[in-house]
Amino acid sequence: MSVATRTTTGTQMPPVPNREDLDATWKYLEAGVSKIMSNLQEGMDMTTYMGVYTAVHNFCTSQKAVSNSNHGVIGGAHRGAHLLGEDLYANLIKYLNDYLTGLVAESRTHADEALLSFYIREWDRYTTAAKYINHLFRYLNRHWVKREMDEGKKNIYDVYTLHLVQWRLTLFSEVHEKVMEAVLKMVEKQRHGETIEHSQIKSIVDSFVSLGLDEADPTKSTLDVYRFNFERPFLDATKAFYQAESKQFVAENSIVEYMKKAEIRLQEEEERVNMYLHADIIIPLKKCCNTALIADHSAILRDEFQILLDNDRQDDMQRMYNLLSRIPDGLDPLRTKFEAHVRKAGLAAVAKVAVDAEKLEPKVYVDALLEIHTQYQGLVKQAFKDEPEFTRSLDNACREFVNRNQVCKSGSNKSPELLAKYTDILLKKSASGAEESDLENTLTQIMTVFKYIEDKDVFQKFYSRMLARRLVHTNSSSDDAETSMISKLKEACGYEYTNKLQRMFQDIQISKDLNSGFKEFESKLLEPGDEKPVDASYSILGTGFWPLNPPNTDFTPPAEIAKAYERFQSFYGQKHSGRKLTWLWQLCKGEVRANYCRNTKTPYTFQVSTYQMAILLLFNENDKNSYEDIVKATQLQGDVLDPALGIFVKAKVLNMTNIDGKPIAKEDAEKPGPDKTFALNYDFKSKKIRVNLNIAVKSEQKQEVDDTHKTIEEDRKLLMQSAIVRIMKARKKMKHTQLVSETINQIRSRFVPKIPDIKKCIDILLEKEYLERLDDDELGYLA
Amino acid sequence: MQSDQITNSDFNSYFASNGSAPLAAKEKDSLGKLFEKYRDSTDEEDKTGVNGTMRYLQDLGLNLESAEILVPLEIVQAPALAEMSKDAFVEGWKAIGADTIPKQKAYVAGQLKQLSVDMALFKRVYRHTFICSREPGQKALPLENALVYWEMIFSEPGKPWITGTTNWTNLWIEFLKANWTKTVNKDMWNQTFEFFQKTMQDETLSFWSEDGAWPGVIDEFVANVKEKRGDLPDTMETD
Repeated sequence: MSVATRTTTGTQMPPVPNREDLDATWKYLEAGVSKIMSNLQEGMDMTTYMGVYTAVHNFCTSQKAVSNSNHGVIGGAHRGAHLLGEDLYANLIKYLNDYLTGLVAESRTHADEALLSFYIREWDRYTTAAKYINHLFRYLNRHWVKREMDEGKKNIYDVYTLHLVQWRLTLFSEVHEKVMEAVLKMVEKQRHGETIEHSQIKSIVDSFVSLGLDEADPTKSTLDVYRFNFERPFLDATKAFYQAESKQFVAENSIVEYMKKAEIRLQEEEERVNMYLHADIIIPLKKCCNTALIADHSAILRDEFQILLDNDRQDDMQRMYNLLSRIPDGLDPLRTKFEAHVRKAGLAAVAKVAVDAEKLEPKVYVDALLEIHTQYQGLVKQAFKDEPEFTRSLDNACREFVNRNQVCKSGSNKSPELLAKYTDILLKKSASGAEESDLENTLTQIMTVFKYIEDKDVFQKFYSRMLARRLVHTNSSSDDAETSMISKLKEACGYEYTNKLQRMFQDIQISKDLNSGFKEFESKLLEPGDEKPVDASYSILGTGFWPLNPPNTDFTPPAEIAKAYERFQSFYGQKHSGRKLTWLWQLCKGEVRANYCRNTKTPYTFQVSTYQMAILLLFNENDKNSYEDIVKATQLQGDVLDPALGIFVKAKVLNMTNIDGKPIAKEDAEKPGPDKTFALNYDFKSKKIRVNLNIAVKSEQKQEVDDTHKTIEEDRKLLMQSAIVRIMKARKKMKHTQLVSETINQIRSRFVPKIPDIKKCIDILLEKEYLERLDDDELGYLA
Repeated sequence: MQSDQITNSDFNSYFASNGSAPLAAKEKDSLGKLFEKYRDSTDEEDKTGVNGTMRYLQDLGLNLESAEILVPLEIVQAPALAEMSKDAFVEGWKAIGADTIPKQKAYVAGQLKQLSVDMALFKRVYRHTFICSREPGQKALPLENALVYWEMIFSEPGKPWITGTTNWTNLWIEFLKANWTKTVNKDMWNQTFEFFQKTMQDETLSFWSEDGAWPGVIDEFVANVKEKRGDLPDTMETD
């Protein structure tokens, strides 16, 4: 039989064969097939097409076709009608084999891109022809092939698939390595920046994919052939390329440059997939590139991170984040470094402002904390995509430097104290008068720091004391801001945390109504011609909610106000019988007009505490009063009276002399005390018409801070004890260690208790017989 | 108080099951009569006062200045050092089966020999020491009294609290004198015994941990001892 080549022309079709003569039939068919295979572009006339189709049909349906050929491929044609197709099938295989062997030989004359062109051209021709031939041999497909396949015969395919199988067996197995070589060469060229005709590679990929036939089910395709013969060598080559390239690049360039390079390379590879590779390669290719470009260099990348942090190179850090996030566990070391860095930065920022911790302004301190937080929160957002783990590292670092820094040397309670003070400054009426929206923003920032505070109970204590003062002295900047702050705290810590604060706020609101009620009540009492009563307002504060104590000195209020407050007392008694009013004189204040001053036309108004008022009013009777007179009249104790007088002396409202007329020693010039006499200064001068003499003394403030801390300690003991009792009441029996850790859990939201302190509380409860010690480190609850 | 009574009844049944036959009802009378011998006419009914109690302890041949007396005081569950109650006296000795002074004397002498060896016995006597050394109506011992009793019971015939390199009694007393201003309550007294037992087994204190159930005073003592020994500072230091 002649070898079919492309030079064979099909113009001369052999005569239409006898239906029972295989040799003649095949000769006829071969001519047709050959024509399609080699010369399809010339077209095929309908007669030939129909002739071939009919010949296949006729042969397959002939009853006694006999082969008088003796070539070996065909055997057993005489075995029966149903086997007739087998002869045709075998002849077709032989034809294809011969045809493809010819192509293999021809391919040897090509290399590189020419080989690719050749392969693609032949592949296209072959597969197009296969479709036609498949059509012509449809009768064979439908009957013989189908029957064989139904019977479970292996290696029988429909005619089209048969073409692919033969291509793979004969041609592909011979040339695929060289083809791949050519492909990889082209890709490397492209990686070096040359332009290539990448549609060729795409065609090769498609061809390789088409050759993947599922042996178990020939109607399905698999990617096995492609994966084994294309993907694998492609990945190997990629890996080798980038390993070599990155090694060299890193040696010659900075890490930052390398990161840029790597970023570009990774981007390119992704585009490569879209452009001409099979989508299946995306994941393994990424992995391969990540390993060669990132993981292999992760150590030096991470070493660079500290430098980038130190120099605040946000873009480069973002680059590093993006790169390292692509490899498993790539970011953990960065987070650790980041956390340590933020903590250090925080400590440094605090150290900078904490040169004189005693005089540290709350605002300066809180701003220092906030600045670091804001800076690194920005970095997390900018460079680390707000990734939750980085946010956690940031939180950990902030919690550390907020609670343990130079200012908090003596304990973590300094931060909440300063934060509360800063809040107080913000919420107090001030000359600067910050904008409402600014204030709201600052309060939100306060909450940012608050979130990190461990000793929330300390903040609460200071906050409530300061809120009390703002409310009592009505110098809160705005009710809205106050409410907003309370609701922020409530949101952060729950109802219980702010309960008292809210009640304090309510008391003030209720007192307003009460005062207008009282005004009405008072006006009805007055007879026409009575002296106008003192214009006063009263705040009724619930004992349990306000962090206020009754005054610790005796006091006789001046007669001038006695009537007014007694009236109020009876008014309140009528409204709420059974309630006891305790006057917190130390918090009361008022204004008096100084009509006696010689140097001014408009009289001065003195803003004074009620204690001071009582002192000043004595001078209505006498221009001079001895210390002893004042004590007798007011009943005030020295520790309250002396500072109050001191301010008058210092402001020159009163002139102080020794009772025996001797001059006062210089160092005692502002120290009132026994054996001193005070005289009204008629020559008092002031630039302002309203003179504020109600000034808290520094030492008093310090005392108050110390007291607050002391009450916090006491409250903590009670809080721990009540937690322990609560737990034990529920559990009846509990191991000591369990009880300790449970107690910590219950209290942690307020402060972090120390184990020795908890143990001390357990000791106390054992002693008080709330608890008893059972065997084996176990404690029991005693009802 | 309740737990001490439980200890006592355990102890009774221990001896009951140990072979000594409890006395029958009529022998109860002989114990009652013995008790009355020591009750002065000025004493309350069914109670002995200082003189009678001392006389009794002397009759048992005991040194009134030593831990010896603590043994019979535990047996009769004396509510105070110089006081015995008739019921507890009769019950205590009845369970043991000793209704005469010679019998009791012999029994106490035997117990004294065991005191430093039999830790269960030593613990009973130790715990009762707290009960009978309290002032009437007080729950805790003043520190100076407690120090005296610790010194007493941690020396012969009790078990001396001394290990290879350490005289724990001295350390403990020194530490408390310097650092403890409060009274000694029952828990502290009893836990000191637990601590004593542990240190006798392991003088390196490796059994101790901050998370343990020890009362705070013992934690502080451990820190103090470790500091003296120059051990590496541990977590207590962070306080």
